[in-house]
Amino acid sequence: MKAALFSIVPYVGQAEHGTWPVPARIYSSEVAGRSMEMALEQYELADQLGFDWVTLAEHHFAPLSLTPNPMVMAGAVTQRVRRAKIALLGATIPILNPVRVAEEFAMLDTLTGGRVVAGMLRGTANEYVTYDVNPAESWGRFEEAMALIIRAWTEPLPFGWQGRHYRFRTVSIWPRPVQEPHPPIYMSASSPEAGEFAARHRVSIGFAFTTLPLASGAARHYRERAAACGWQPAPDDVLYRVTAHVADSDEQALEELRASGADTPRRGFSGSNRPLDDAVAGAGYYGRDAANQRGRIAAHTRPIAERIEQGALLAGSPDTVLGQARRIRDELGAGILEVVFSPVGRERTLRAIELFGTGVLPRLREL
Amino acid sequence: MGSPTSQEDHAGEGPALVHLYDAGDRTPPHDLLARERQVISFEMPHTAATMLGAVSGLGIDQFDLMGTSSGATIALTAALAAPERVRALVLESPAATGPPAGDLELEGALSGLRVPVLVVIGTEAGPIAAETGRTLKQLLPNCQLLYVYDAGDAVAADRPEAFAEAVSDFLERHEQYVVSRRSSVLFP
Repeated sequence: MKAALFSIVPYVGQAEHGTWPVPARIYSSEVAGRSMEMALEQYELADQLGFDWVTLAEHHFAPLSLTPNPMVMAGAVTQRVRRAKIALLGATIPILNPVRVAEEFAMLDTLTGGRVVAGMLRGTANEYVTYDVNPAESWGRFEEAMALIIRAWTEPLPFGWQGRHYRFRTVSIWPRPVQEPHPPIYMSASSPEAGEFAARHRVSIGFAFTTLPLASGAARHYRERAAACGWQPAPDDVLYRVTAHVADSDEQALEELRASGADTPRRGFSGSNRPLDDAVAGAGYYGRDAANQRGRIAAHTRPIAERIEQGALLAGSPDTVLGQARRIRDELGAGILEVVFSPVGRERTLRAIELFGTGVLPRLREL
Repeated sequence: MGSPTSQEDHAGEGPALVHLYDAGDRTPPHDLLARERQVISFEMPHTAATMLGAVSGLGIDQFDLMGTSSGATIALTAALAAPERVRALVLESPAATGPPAGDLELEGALSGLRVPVLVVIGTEAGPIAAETGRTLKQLLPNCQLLYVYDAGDAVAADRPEAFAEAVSDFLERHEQYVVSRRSSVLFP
């Protein structure tokens, strides 16, 4: 099993919560700069400890994440992370210019000598408000944008694109991706439609902010559809993102989590503006499995013990966390465990990363 | 040998567009194209010479020329035979005609053809269609290669509005059609 370190690059100072978009009345540029530096410090440490990937994401208009354009942050990461792959999970492609996304991924692949993983996601419901995109068109735009990005990466001659949602009369991107034929693509497959699309297009999948039972069911659906399309996903085609805290003992890990307020987690993007989420849901954004898709975030607001039981949190000593990771490997068949280290204070978080890197990662590889 | 078919059915007002296509092709969007031009369609089989003669017989000297599938081969041949008569050329899903490998004479002729060419390929048409498009783009000095998303070999039938918009714009502006004229003003 491989390991990735994910940071959403949270703003580490005081800010308003429970709403979206979040006002910037008490914003501090000094804190924001420090927040970014703390994330870079985590990425750099993960690289030194042998993590296989470091991961960034795209979110807008909230202190929960300071990387509305993860490509920009990844540009900085390329100068600090010299060995690990740099994964962007993702670019929220339906709200972006696909040609620009293809260019930015190609730049990063060039800067890293071919170490970029190109996540392409639909994003959380609120993202559609960010750039004024109709969420009812999310799937159509997603599918076409991915096709256009792949074409832009691989087409050797200037070409025009006459799409449904996108029109470009001439495209010929420079630089080109280093990886042949193009960087690996990951997409979310929590919904059945997404799993079916990924299977049809032989795209790898990732699960985030879900539970082990929900992800296992969705992964089964993906593998069944892949088999029907004549291929078999490898373990590395399935990534599972999970929050974790590691300390010298189980008791210490749980105590540090509680002290950090992890027992009263904040609501995520969609839960912070229910009318907005209802409107996006009403546009058909969540697809045919809407109840599960809207409900899976709620599992992350449950008490610590319950989240551990649901596979939504790894917590304890290195031995304990290894056992929890093994369960993810066994039940889900994930080849990549992507870890978000709990915000328990800078020193403790760095210590947790170090314990994971030295006490869990070497044995994780043997799973 | 065929003759101009259904000329009246598709006739619009404006510059002439001659379309060479197979009877088996799914319905081309002549109604959309005829909004700004006179569409004269020829069902295959035809040769370049019979088509050129028939168009002359209609009293038309210069015209735009569009060929679909094997009709694209004839359209290309006609443009090589009478480049002064063809204002612009549209090749929809051209049959894999590019010149046979090593046909230096034909390659040379294509590289000397100054007529603006638009090659239209569906993204679902498969690798051979795309490779044919690339071959033509590399040989023809003034060629635009256009992919129509979610269309197969029958590009115009699969995505009629998308096809007609690109073709109409190209026939009007040739290589300058790469410059957008769409306004992004939402409210004055």
